[in-house]
Amino acid sequence: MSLLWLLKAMFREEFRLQSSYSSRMSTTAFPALLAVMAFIVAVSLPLLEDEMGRDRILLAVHSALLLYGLAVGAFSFLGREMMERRWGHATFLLASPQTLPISFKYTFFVFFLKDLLYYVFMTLLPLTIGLLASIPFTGFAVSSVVMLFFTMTATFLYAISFSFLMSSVYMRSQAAFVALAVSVIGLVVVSGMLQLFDLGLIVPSIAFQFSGDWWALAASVSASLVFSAWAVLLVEDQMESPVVQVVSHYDEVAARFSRFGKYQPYLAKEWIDLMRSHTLTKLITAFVLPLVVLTAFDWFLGTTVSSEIQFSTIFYGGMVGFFGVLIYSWLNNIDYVEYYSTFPVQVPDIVKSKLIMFVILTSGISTTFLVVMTGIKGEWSRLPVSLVVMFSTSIYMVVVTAYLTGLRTNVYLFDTRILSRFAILSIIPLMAITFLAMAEEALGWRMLVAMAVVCMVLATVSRLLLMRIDKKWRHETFTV
Amino acid sequence: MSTDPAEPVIEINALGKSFGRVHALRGVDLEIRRGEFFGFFGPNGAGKTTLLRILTGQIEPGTGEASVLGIDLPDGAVEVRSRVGVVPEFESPPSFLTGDEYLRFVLRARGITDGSGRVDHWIDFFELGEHRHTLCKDMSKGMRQKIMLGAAFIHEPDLLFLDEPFINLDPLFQLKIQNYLREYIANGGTIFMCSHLLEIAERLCSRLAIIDEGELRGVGTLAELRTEEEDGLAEVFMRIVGRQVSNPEKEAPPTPVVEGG
Repeated sequence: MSLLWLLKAMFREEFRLQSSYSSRMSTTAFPALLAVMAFIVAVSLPLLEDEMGRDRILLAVHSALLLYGLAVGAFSFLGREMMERRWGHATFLLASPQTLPISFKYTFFVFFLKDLLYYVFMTLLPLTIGLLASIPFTGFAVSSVVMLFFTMTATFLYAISFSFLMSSVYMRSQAAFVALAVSVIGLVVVSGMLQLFDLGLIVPSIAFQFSGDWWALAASVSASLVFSAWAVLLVEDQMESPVVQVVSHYDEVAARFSRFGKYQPYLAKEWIDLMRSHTLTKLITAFVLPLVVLTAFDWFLGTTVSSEIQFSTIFYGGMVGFFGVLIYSWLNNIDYVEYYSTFPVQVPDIVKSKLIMFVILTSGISTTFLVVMTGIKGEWSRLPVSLVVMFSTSIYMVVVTAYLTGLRTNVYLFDTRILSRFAILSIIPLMAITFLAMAEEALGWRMLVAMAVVCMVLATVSRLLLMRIDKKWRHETFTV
Repeated sequence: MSTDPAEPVIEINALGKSFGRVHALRGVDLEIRRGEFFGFFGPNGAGKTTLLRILTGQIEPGTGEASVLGIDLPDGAVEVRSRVGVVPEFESPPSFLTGDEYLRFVLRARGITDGSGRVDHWIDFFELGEHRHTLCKDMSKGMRQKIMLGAAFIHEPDLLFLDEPFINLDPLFQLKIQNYLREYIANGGTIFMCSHLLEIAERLCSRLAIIDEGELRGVGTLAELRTEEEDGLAEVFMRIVGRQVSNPEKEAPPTPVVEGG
């Protein structure tokens, strides 16, 4: 099976999978929507540039791409999960080695290549086209936009390759994974605290962005190639899973959720799923990682880029709330839900049970993170406001996500119509909270009043959308 | 469980359903009475599973009307599913629950909190004792099918919807399930079953329907449907759907090539 043929077949598979959930038109229009969004952001950039500075904006873009690459690159997890759980009754070309004379290493390599190209062409290229289209209004130099495309691609490649490698290491040895993860995080934290070297040495594409040093780009691409090649070599060709016997304890877990009425059986099942699939660990990582990157970003700005503005814990409160969407997305990604079609429930019941689980999970994780950040920054007086902002944005964002995407968050967010609604509903409050948090010194007590108004609006919209979840998803089926 | 044999438990009038340009069902009329073991047959893609999914409230009908146990669909979908047992087309219990836990989960979702005795009964019935604490994702297809059957039977419903219930089961368990279903009917239950296993269906079903390309081609008892020359359901099926298995003497398959042979 030639590489090109398999690559094309996987592209078709990806496109048809996306189209099967939304419409062909929506899937095709997705890059166009991204281009339009990039155009709008670019045209309004001068306002943001005055406040943040161009370096900060560029760093934010690279940080976002690092997170994006890390989030979507865990192919070895995904591959194993696809084969073990069959994702309902859909099967994928990735599983071909089970019946055809080709190796898993080969199909994983092609799958990695397909995803890399898919993301570059479906997201990075449209974003660049949007920036290019804004040139008559913004006066950006064509060369700097083209340069940004290459550095963005290099950062994304770096992150996705590293994530692929980490997931392959995990599948071979969880101890090795933990050791490697602790080493990398330790290296970043220690070098940050001691200011041994700057962020550009850890993520060379960022150095290339700021210095234009081609050696930095070469280093970034070389490291990415080493990561991905190593990841492919670590992919096991025998996908055997041990038969797992556990202590059945459903009734005991259900008893812990007795106060949740009709949602009790589903919450107990969700909890067991989270534990047994190790999703709770992945979920905490997926939730904490963006916040760690954000913290590193804060540290980098504080130490290397001269700026008067620092992120306060109120700003973090808002960010923690927004990152909570990831948790809801993971909750929908643990297992297929086709068997619910035989149960006396409807999709809104399961959506609501996932929302309850979200609140249970985030209350602990988010509060802990915010308290730790407050301690580090010594901003205890801001903690109460930060907590209010965090809970308001958390609840708002998860309700918006649940309302718009139901049980298929990862898929519906690629639907143009849904994504555009999601963008409008999330960007406006995000910008409002960011602006208010950053303008705290300038606005004084008026910032608190304005923030209170924003939080009340978010709470009101959350309640309205929550009530409409029943109507919106009542007729949805559990089957793919 | 009511045992009035005249009482219709499934009523379908001019039911239609399309998926895009594909017409899965066209104007289907059907009535199934209490106590019947009703078999629903047809070639692949004929519309069997679509009808079963509509009747269990999994998908909505396009046109026409359907009711189950006197409850109109699709509005009463949840109520229907609370009173019936369903074995779906694919054997897919949740990956991370054990068989024991899945049955307990099903009971709680149906409002039965003290169901340990029932769980033990069905685990024993399906001889899954050794595997009751195995995660469903690590079970064989046959074991998963047994778990799905147990989940459909465990709350003692009035009506069973079975989509290929014997698939992946060994002959011993196929026989055991047949005996259980006969007993279930004798006790006043009703069954709506889709299957390709015509020999088993012929022994079990009191009445049957054959569907092809979304249209009902025949409804009645086997005696009513077959002609004098026909021996059994397989021949009736072939005649009604208007297709013959290709004659291997007339249409020789391609000769297999064995490399190095």
